[in-house]
Amino acid sequence: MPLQAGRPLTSGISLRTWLGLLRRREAQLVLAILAVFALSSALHHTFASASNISFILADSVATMIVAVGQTIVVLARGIDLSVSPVLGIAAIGVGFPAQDSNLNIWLALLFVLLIGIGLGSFNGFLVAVVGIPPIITTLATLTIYGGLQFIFTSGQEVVNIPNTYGQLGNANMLPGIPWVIVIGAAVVGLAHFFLTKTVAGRAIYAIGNNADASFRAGIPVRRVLFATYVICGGLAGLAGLIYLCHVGSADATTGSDTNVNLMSIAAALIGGTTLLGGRGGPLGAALGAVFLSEALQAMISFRIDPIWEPAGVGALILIAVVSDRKGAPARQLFRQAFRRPAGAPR
Amino acid sequence: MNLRSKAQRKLAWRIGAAAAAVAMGATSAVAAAPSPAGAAGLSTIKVAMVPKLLGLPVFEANEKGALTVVKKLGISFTFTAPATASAEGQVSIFNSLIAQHYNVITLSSDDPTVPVPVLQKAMKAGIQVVTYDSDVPTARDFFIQDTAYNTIAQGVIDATVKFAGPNADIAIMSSTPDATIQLAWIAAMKNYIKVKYPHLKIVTIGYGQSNQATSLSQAEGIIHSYPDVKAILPIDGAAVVGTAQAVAALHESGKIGVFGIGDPLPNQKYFADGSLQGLFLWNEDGQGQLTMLVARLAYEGAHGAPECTASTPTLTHWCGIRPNFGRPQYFSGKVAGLPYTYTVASAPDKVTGATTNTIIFSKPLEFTPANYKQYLF
Amino acid sequence: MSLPASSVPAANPAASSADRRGRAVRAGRQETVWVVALVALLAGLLAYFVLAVPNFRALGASGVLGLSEQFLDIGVIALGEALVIFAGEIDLSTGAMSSLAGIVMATLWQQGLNIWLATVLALVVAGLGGLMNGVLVTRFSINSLLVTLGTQFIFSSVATAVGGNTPPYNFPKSFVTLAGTGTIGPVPNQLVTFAVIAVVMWLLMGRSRYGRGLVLIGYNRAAARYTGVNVERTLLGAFVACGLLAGVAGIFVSGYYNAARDDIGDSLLLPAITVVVLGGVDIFGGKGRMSGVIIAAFLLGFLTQGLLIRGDSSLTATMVTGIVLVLCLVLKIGLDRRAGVHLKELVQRRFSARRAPLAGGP
Repeated sequence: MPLQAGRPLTSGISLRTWLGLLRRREAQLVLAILAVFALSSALHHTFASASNISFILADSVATMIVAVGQTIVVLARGIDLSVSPVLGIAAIGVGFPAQDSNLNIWLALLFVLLIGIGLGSFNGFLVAVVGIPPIITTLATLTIYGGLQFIFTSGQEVVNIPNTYGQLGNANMLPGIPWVIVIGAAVVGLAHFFLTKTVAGRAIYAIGNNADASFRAGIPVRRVLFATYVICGGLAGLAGLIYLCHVGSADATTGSDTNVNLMSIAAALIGGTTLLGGRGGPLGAALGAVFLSEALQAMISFRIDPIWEPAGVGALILIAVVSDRKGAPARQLFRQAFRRPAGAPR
Repeated sequence: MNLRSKAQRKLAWRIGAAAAAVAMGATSAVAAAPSPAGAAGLSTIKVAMVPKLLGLPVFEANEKGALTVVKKLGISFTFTAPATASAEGQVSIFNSLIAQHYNVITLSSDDPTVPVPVLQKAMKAGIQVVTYDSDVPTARDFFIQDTAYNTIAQGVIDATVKFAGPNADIAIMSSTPDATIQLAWIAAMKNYIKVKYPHLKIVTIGYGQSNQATSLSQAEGIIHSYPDVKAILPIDGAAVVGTAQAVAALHESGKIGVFGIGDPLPNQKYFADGSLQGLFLWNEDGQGQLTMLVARLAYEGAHGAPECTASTPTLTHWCGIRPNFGRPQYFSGKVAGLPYTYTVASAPDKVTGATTNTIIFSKPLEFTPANYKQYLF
Repeated sequence: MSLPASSVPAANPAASSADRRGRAVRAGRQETVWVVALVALLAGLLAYFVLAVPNFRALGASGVLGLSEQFLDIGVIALGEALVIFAGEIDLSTGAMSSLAGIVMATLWQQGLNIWLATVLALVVAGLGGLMNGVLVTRFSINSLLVTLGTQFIFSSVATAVGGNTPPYNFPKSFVTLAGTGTIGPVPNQLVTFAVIAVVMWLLMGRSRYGRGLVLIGYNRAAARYTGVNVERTLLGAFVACGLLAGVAGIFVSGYYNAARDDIGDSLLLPAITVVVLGGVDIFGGKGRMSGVIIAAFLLGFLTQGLLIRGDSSLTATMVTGIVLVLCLVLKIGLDRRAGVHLKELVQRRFSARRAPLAGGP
């Protein structure tokens, strides 16, 4: 049961199967995405234009890739609060050489991965080797990496990226399908394959469910934990390159100014991953990122005052979490909430 | 209180005069003094420059400008700021500057009210407080206003109308709903539209939260949700980049005009590919230089330096030039090869946005696809 | 499963009960050692600044005491946050709650209400916010990290909406003096208020049945239930107190700056959690001393302020905070294990597949 979200989506024909499918968070999210889309399109016919759809998707890719990394860490019952400066350091780390000396984009890809893996390894070392709790480790590295990002920029910003980068960030690979969306889809697909089809991936779910039992079953718990932070760092680095290409600029506050930390956690949670570990997956996180991006655009077309944007994100998190009861109907949930808990003294 | 304001009035006079001298081709005296001996007779004072946050190119340009003159003004210079644009972060820096006995604090405030108590404490401790760019009206000696609100608003709107016609739908991209300067600019634009182009319609105001990524998606949302918009006016540095990028990415370059307030260097690409038509800003280098000059003069004035004596030889050239109080009547000149203008106001003025003891730094510079390459900030 | 698993320490089933009792005693002793270490560190730090930084020395005793006004807001939040963390939960909404309380107080005052009445009402709002967190955590049994991650966004939006474009400022003098920058002799009023709250908290955690219950919940929730602790009510109380203290911090901040702002508390959350952890409270609950948290608030505060006065940039000060946190935790974990284990050996053992896993949970 705990591996629910990791189970492959099988197509069935009976009504029961379809209804069962509806209980899955991924299916609920797809419905929610379609509903918001239909509503916004009814208000503004331009919302349904191909360019808007591809923009909403493209806009979500950086968050999506970080959210996939965050999901992998959270599945093993960790958390990474340092992803925003990692994204920022990667973006400026290749942004400056790209701007000044037209760094080859493949080398840039290699660099962002190395930067991300390096910073992720330090997190992994503190969590898995030294044994500092993940939330504290990454809280501390958040301030340290954030400082490094400032020092590296020394007051400059990346403003002029070469054309190859801009093409990657905004041009289409096939008509109507931008490159970034293909990259995002590839990352999500690979992560899904890794988590569901490989031994190491299953080990992450196992550790999130029960670290003790996993250890006793012979899983090298510490190594796997270490690996989750390395993967998350690498993906945050990759997202830095995507951000740079898509937005076209980067500076000392890139990553923290758009609150990549909270947005990636929000996308993962909305996508059905629980912070208690062992449940959820990258498909949900990706849909969560798309939903957030779409909802923010829809707020503009609904003429909602932007000051309510944070409240919207907060409400989405709470709704996602409250409704995450493995299919328990809301009625039952409320009854349970106002009943005296079992074993409580009178 | 009375004494203080009297001293301030006197000083406003002196600053007006000094700035006039700098402006009237007197660059040679400040930026290119004949010999270091020019600084002789000036005691060294400690001046801190505290912008809203670290790492923003416009503030770094101020610093660069300041650094070119500090030696000649006998200033030991420190540039420091919080890592994020937080008023509380600034307050804690001000406290440490007070403890370190700085002589003058210059700052661009993150908030018009939060630093009031600590700046009052600084003034009580004998420290001169000079604000630039963003004011703290109730707790400073002088304010260097970037530019008159009405002038820059008129520049942006006139350019927009030239592109989109006087009956167009337009949208504004700002930073945050409570950003003081952006609010003032928006109000000035609305006033000007009401008088001059009553059929120009502002359909919405988007908020990019001072970062490029949010500005990009907000601008994109505006373009899709308001298909009749003919021009977007980003009035914050990050908003300019985000808006131009959105217009370029959606292949609307030239169809939707972008006219804003921001620095040209980060936007060269968009000028070149036609997604950005016009920008307005003041000369950031020159503003840094003027800030240091005002800092020195504020210190001299407060410490009773006679107006025109040999004790301030580098500054003597401004003696005798009458300042200009009242409506802007710009002096102009050049600093470091860049033209700038300024005026001094001693009384509040609703039209320009000036309050008491305000030095309005500059008439806005206009950057267009034809001239953007000349400016490197 | 109704219990957040993170609150259950990974027990070693092989350990005998005698072994466990021995460990509990040792744990208690280590907590004391940690508090003593913090005191020594604080003394050393102050001595360093006084001897090596002339500007710090020039402040004099009253000036140094006055520095505390700049970090006591963090300290007050940390006291409340500690309550919640003792029980193995966390509250990420305290920073936003501080902003909201300040804004509510200021707006009510602007509407013509007496400032002290407005303050009381703002604290009530803060308490209710904490109650909301608590109900969501205990009644709906949702992980507190999630609940408060969500409510953080909501509180902050509400604060922005209530505050409007130009939040109120320039409060009556009596308020600014009492809640903000006034002093009694050389002692800032805020320090007096903080001391009163700190003593109450210290008595609560060290001397009361409630405090013992709270720690027990953090140590082992099931055991707490069986020993007759009303888990729900105790937790609810902790969340309400945490919200209330965040509200007090919001009033401190508004008084100190003589202005309210919708995002003024945002920067307080992470330092407050840092103070709690530095103070020796286990982030999974069940371990630690309130006295450690109180000392850590001063340690971190004087460290930051001292560095600034030494002329370091605020960026350096923030980074040093992060590094100090990591170093202290490495030290503490070394202390928690056994004295004299070399790091190299530690690394080898940690990385071997045959070692027991770490306790899970974020």
